[in-house]
Amino acid sequence: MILNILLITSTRIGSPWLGIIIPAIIFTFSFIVTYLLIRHFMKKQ
Amino acid sequence: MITFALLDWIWLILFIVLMVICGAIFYRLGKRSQSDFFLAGRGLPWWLPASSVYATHTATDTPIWVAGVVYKYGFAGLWYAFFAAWCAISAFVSTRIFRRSLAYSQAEWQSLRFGGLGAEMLRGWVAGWQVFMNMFILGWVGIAMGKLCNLLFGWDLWVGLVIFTTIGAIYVLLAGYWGVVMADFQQGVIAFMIIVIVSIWGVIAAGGPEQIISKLKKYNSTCEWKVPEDVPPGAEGYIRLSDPETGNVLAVSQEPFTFVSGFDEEIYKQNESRLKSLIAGNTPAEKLDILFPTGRDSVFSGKDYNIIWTAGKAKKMVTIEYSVEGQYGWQIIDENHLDGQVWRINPFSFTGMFKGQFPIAWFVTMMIIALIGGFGMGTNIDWYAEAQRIQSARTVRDASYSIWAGTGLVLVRNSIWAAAIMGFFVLFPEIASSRDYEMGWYIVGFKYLPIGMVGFLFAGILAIHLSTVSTQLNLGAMYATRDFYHHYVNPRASEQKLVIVGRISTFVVLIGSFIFGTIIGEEITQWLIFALWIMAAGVWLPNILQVIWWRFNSWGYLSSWIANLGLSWLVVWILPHFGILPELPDYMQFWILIVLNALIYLPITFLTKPENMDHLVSYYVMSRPIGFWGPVKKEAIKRGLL
Repeated sequence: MILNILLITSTRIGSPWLGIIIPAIIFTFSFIVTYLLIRHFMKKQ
Repeated sequence: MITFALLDWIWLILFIVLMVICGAIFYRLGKRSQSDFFLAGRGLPWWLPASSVYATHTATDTPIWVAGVVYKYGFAGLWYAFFAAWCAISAFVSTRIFRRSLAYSQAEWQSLRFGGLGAEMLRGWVAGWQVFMNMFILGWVGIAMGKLCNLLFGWDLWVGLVIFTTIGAIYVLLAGYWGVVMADFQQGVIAFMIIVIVSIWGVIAAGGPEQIISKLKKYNSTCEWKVPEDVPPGAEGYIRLSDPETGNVLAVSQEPFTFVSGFDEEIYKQNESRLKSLIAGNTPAEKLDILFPTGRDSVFSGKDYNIIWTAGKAKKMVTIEYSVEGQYGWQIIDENHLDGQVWRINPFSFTGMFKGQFPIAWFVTMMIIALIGGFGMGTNIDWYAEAQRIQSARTVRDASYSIWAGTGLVLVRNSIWAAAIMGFFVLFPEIASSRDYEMGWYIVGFKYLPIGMVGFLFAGILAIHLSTVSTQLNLGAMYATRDFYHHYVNPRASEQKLVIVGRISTFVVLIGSFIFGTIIGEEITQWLIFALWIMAAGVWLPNILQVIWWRFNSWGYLSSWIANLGLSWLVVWILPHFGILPELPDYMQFWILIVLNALIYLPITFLTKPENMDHLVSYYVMSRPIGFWGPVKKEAIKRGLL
């Protein structure tokens, strides 16, 4: 009950641009790390 | 319910695709052999199993549990999660011994350490128990995901359970442990970052660290109270506070409040909003004064409330009691250190040696279980997943580092979570129902993060979920394949056939988890504590003895398991039900079970023969255990094996 009230009355903090910038940085980082990992093990095996 | 913007969906779908591809791409390596499908060929550098240890033990139910203990007990509640510190000793003792044995699983290790019929019975028992436990664990983390999706999107519980566990099963079926450990690395990175981000937002939302401390100092005192259900409707009640040492009454309700049956959501909501203003009311006083419930309040029977009284120059410890219809027959609600809320930021805010909700005796028990448990194998439920990671490391040293670093990260993660929960408490101090405040970390994220970040947060939660699901699927399948099919049914099976059986077992474990998940449903916490801690209490010491003492034999260990199954039910449920034993705190149940179980397995150990010396010597030479192995070491030297 109280959880739904808390969620409905959301109070977003920070610029909407952060919703693009932060996930993009982490996504890119994850992608690069994953690519290096795959390349390393495929080469080794 | 929340609404996803287009950007949220974009991030979520991108991450799901990346996670599944990252695991599934190792299909070619996973299908080569049993060793590849379950241990990634035993050739991983330490940081990969370490990230897998961390990612696996970060599940969707973990923030719920951590939020629950930190909201209720403040930073001291973090000690509940300190059992992960078993790695401090294990990394350099049991981890090394286990890695040297080359056993695939803990069940297989039993047949290396012990011999004969007893060892076979132990291997079968441990394997069967692990297949069951992995389905059970998958069921509860799956249903936690189901509950979250129900809260966020309004889906039925089974929808979140089935969809997101099946996504994890895709790459486990294809690539086995290769897929698990590679996806865990990527999921671990995302999960850690999202945990840090939500904590930063939580602290900012509460006004920053200084504001949090300042507000806690000014807040009034509270005590959780579940109103009894058996009070006649319309009866009047009182609350009083007294000094636990002298018994002197410090404050009593000025006027009686009223017990009400049934439930009215509107009145309950009004009460909650009044409670918030009373707790954060900033009303320091010279004398204690009960603020809620008072003369104009009605409390619903069976519902959770916060009793509130003024902060100020109150006693450090107070006893909180209630009485129905008159000021006699006082019933204790709690005994605690409840002068305001500043105690929440002190991780050592104990409530006495044996009294209250957070006694020193409990803390000491937790430390002993965690640290000394590191000498043994299986002293903690996490061990079984860790055992797989230990064997997948390329050397004994890599295995040690992976366990130390992986569980170290778990402890760091808990502290970061705690910051967000403390911010949540400062913002919403009035929540009395554990079912509500346990969702605190999720609420902080979904309420305060900007658009776009909400989808990213859900992707992080999915990473947390998939990392646990994939491990348990592969682990359950390993016990079914290696310790049942390969050991008992078809010892001459080819590597290709074992991989196929591994995939079939993964599918069976997946279906089993759906059945368990729907059975577990909403009621889980009490069963979890019983299944994971109390039911393991009696075998805690035998799990250490089997590693460090040569004379401990298979019959002693087997009898400890059988005895513990009966004794734990007796001590926790049956004897208290008939009034033969009082309902004891869980840490006291632990020590009682340790002693009672020892009275059974120690005589059995000494009344039966030691293990065959040839078997012990070959185990000793391979594993080099520490502890009391004098006669076996002497024999190994005599035979020129050392």
